[in-house]
Amino acid sequence: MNKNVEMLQLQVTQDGDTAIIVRRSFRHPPTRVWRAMTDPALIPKWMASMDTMTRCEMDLRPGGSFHYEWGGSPENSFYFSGPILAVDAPHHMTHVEYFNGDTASGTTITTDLEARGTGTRMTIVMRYADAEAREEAIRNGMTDGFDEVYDKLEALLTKA
Amino acid sequence: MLDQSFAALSDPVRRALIQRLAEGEATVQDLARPFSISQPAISRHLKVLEDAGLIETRVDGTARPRRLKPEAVAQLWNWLGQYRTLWEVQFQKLDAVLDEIADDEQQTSRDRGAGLP
Repeated sequence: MNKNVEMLQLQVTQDGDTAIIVRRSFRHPPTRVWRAMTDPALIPKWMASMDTMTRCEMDLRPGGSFHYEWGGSPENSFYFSGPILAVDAPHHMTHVEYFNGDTASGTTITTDLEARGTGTRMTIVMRYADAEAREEAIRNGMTDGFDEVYDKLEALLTKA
Repeated sequence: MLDQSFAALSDPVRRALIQRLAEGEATVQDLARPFSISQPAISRHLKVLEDAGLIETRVDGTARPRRLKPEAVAQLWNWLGQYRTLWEVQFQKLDAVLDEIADDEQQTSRDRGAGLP
């Protein structure tokens, strides 16, 4: 069991000033991982941790596009969308992600799936428009953890 | 304060300075040595880090060594950990989806084997 945990170990690293690299392994072959990551019927089952996806479209081909949206009402909804640049199923995909349709600054994302034994080694490289955009993405990515951090802080202060 | 910390760490020189200080306290001269930039420039970077609450200056006679403020760095680390946690939460869900569709695929091939549509 411990071996498995080690094998799947997530790595999140910063690359240069603008990129984040996420690496992880899966116990399933690339064809299956590819299906789970690109089938619009399956994506909402795992993508994002808090809100439920309300719209999920994927036209998976070079020149195609995608649209992922969360939140029920216009005030709290947000979406990521953009063009699909390259597809080589089940091993490689490059797409550009715009937040709420803002095409002024896009994130270029490459996803690579490599067979490793009976499993898959996944590498996602997210290249942001600039260093600030990357910092912002990290900050925004963490807002879901706000409550937990404040709770911990409060517990700490109560002890002291 | 966290916003300021992230802004402070958006610069590669300042990240390198934090990394160096993670090994122990150091003077401006020590810190400037590996860089091809002037001591005053290093001092300016150190001031940004100090204003962000990530490092502090210790007074030791005439020396002014800089060191990390452990609580601030621990907090920052915690937040970076949060970002990582969000990814892991997603991937654990993806693990479950993969197990689920693997069962479906097996079921489908069993059905085919039994001559079912």
